[in-house]
Amino acid sequence: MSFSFSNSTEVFIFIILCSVYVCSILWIYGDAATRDMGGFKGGILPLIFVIAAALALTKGFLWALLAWPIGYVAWFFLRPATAHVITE
Amino acid sequence: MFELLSKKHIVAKEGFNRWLIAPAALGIHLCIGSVYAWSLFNPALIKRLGVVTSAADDWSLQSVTITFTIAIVFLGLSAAVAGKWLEKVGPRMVGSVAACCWGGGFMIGGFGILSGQLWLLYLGYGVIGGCGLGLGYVSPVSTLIRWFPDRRGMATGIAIMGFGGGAMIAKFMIEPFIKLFYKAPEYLGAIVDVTLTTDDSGRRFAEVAGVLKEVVIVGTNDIANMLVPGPEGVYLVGTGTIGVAQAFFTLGAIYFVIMMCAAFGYRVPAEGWKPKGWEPPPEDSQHAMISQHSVHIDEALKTPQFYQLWIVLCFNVTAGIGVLAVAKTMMNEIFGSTLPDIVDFGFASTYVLMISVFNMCGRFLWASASDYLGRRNTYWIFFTLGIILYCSIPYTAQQVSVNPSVVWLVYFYAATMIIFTMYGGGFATIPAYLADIFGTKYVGGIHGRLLTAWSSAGVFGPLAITSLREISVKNAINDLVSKIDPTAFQTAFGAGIDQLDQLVSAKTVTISKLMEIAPVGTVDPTASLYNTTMYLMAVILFVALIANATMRPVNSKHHMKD
Repeated sequence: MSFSFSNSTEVFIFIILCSVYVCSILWIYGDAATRDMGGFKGGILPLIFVIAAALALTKGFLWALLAWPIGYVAWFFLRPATAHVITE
Repeated sequence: MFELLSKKHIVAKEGFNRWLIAPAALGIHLCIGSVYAWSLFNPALIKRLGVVTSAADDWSLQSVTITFTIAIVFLGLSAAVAGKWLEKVGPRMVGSVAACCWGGGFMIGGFGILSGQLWLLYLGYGVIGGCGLGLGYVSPVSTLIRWFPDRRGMATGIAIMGFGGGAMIAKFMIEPFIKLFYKAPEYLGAIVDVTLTTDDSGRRFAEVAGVLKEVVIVGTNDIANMLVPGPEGVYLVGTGTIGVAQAFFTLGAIYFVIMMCAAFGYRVPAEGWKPKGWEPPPEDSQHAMISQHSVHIDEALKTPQFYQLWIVLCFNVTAGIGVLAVAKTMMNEIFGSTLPDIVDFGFASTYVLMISVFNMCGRFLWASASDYLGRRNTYWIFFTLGIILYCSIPYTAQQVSVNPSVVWLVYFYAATMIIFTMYGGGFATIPAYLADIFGTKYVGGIHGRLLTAWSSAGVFGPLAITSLREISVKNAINDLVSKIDPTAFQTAFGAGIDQLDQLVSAKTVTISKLMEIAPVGTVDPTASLYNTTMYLMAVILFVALIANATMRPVNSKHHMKD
């Protein structure tokens, strides 16, 4: 895994993007649970995004940037339509 | 057996002294906190075969340091995944599994070292041990918060202080154990007395009883790096024992026993228990940030407050890593060269020790103070004071270069120590902040998921720091080269400026070497190498400050029904 940054602004953007990426995976994890996709299915689907991210990172920064929105948009098509709030 | 570990089996009886939970939690955190002492294993791990110095087939430093990164990543992942399980089975079960993973991880890692299988070290210490770290870290948090609803910050501060102090205690075990099991390799004699041959790959061999055997050579410069001092000369590879595998086995057994004892010390309060004379704060505007309702662990992931706290923790850790990574170097490079009479080797070593002490004390003091200041206010202090201190460090470094006064050294020392207390305080205060925002019912599990922020910072923090340093060095070198006469450059380095990139890569051209041929009056850029790091960390803290400032109570639609 190698990254090359030419200035501190790029490093800042990298940190922000990494944070957004991890938070979006966590959000998907929670979203899966509130759509009755808990357990194996709910655990595996977000994991696919984690693996995709890891693979993308090994191919370089640009691949990671491309993989994230594709995976994220795909989630909105894959997930069940109805959600509920876990209150008890 | 498993029944003994279950949650229902550890409900405390009436009159149980809640303070007994604190040493149990502290015990687990002191054991797993030893992960920060990983660097003490590195010198031994890279001499597994050569023992006195690295042999050709020994592991590289880079390959063994990856083990630590793997452990930190699996800390976050295991804490995130197992958080829900923790709430179901209780702290004793999780603490016991953590003991098995952390102790067992050392054992498997030890076998990896003995057999020379690096992947076993990664699997043992990194993956399995990392899972033990995550489970052990979150196991006492929710229990402590339930036992100390009146002093949540102080309670979690005690436990998490242990994580900060674990490395200091480990230092006094790791080095003696390695030396205890160390066995020097067979000494063949001084270099002049042994006939050596070198093969095509650069390995050195000596004839022993008519057979060519691989050897390593200890020169004058290698003696300082020997774990146990010995004479200069030729040593037979594979005949000694570095002692690190045996140290792994011993430490694994010790940690396992202590953590199991601590796990068996866990008790959970009975449903509805509260300290005598204490009433939950009323739900008025004055206590709006302390919720009396709980949010489900999965539901918490759908609230903005979770991500605000994620940013708060992640960026506080990233900024802390930023200054941790450069503080010692800054002390040596900047103050060591400008105030050499004060900043010697002993001073620098004490400074490193003080980093750990202040980091540990900050965990307890800031977390305890947050019970009175309020969690949001405590992080306000972290970020506003942090921004000021981070921005002031480049000025200090610049001033000491121009005017080498001890005042700047005192300021730098004090500023970095305050930063380290806030770095530790950020870790220790976050569980209480979570309990305030999401309630106490699932706080352990939610805390586990929030620890992904730590793992993330642990991966991209050092990456960012390294990149910033490279950018600064590159810019400084280009700036210096532009001021140097090309002929002087050619004479000094035997190549033209057009080959600068190759010369920098080969470490032939460095800032200090360029300063030797720079025109008189050229300012040494070493002091300003860390400016971008400090300013970027201040910007990151500003983002965290915004996330903290906009923190509001969770929308009631997310609350669990009674």
